[in-house]
Amino acid sequence: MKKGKIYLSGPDRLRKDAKEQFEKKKELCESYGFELLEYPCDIYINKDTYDNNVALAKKRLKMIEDCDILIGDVNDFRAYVEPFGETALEFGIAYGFGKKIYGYMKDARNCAQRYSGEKTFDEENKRWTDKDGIGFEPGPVNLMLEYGGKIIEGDLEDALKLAGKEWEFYVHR
Amino acid sequence: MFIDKNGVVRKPVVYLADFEMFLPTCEETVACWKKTCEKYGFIGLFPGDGDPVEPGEDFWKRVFLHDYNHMKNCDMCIAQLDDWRGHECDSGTAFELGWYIAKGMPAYGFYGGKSPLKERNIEKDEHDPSFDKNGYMIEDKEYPFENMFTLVKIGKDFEEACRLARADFDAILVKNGYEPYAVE
Repeated sequence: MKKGKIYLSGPDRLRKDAKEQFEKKKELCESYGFELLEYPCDIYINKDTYDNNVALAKKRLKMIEDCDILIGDVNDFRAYVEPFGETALEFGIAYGFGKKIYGYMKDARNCAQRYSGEKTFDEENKRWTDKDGIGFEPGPVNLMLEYGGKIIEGDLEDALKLAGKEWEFYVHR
Repeated sequence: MFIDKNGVVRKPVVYLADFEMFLPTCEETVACWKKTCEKYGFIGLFPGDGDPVEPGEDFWKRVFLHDYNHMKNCDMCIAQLDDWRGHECDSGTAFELGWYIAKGMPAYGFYGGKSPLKERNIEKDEHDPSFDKNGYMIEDKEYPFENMFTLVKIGKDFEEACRLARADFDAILVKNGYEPYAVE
């Protein structure tokens, strides 16, 4: 069976132990029969020039084009009920390239349920809003991400389990 | 004006990727953007334009398809990347921008906040201020976003994004023997 290539998207590349985590994730992906493409552990390129950053971004764009599956960490990041911006961008890129897309999050209740602040139901627009009148998405993440990919409650391994099942079906079809 | 993929010189239709639909001021803002588009020789298309999505079964999925169809009918994208619910851009907007990048179509963004990231009011790690309180590095670059966003040009506001796009299109027009577009 053809081995599926995975592109991992998420803020973990910004952690101090990004490199070690990558090795662990690589093993985990392999245990489900996938190959993990090597993403940059950004801590080393932080101070790099703008041009080098553009070159790296182009390389990563090519990686997404070459992968079979994109798996993204869509947990809230530096905002309430919003994931890491780069992951949202990469979801869109992968969608444009026609890839299979999965997103995992610890708490996949809908946005309004996850929001701990004051909220009211806006009858006219049939949606919950926060105290400033800003509307919430109906699902656990923005509509584009929810329908552009599959959102799974859990962690990377849970996403891999589903991806593994669907990949087998997809390859044997 | 721009040269489309068939070699025809015409006004490009711009997909206005944004989070205004969540805001009470949506109508005025979008009207203002569309006027700016006209000034630069573009036609602005708001995701909410066209026939409203009928209520009923699978409503939200049909909203997704409605917006996605608009995306497919546009020639380029200008994305509103301002801070949304915190220190990130709106994820739906970023998704749409990404789609245009993958398709190799002209894509621009605008951001009015502080740049680079470290200038923003992100809660920092008490021992190492180059990381946030959850252990994620705060990038320190002459750029308001993370690495992948360097694939697009980003202006300070909607009009600057239009100017950036105009300049790119004009360069291609001139190279092919056409006059640059006269901005009103």
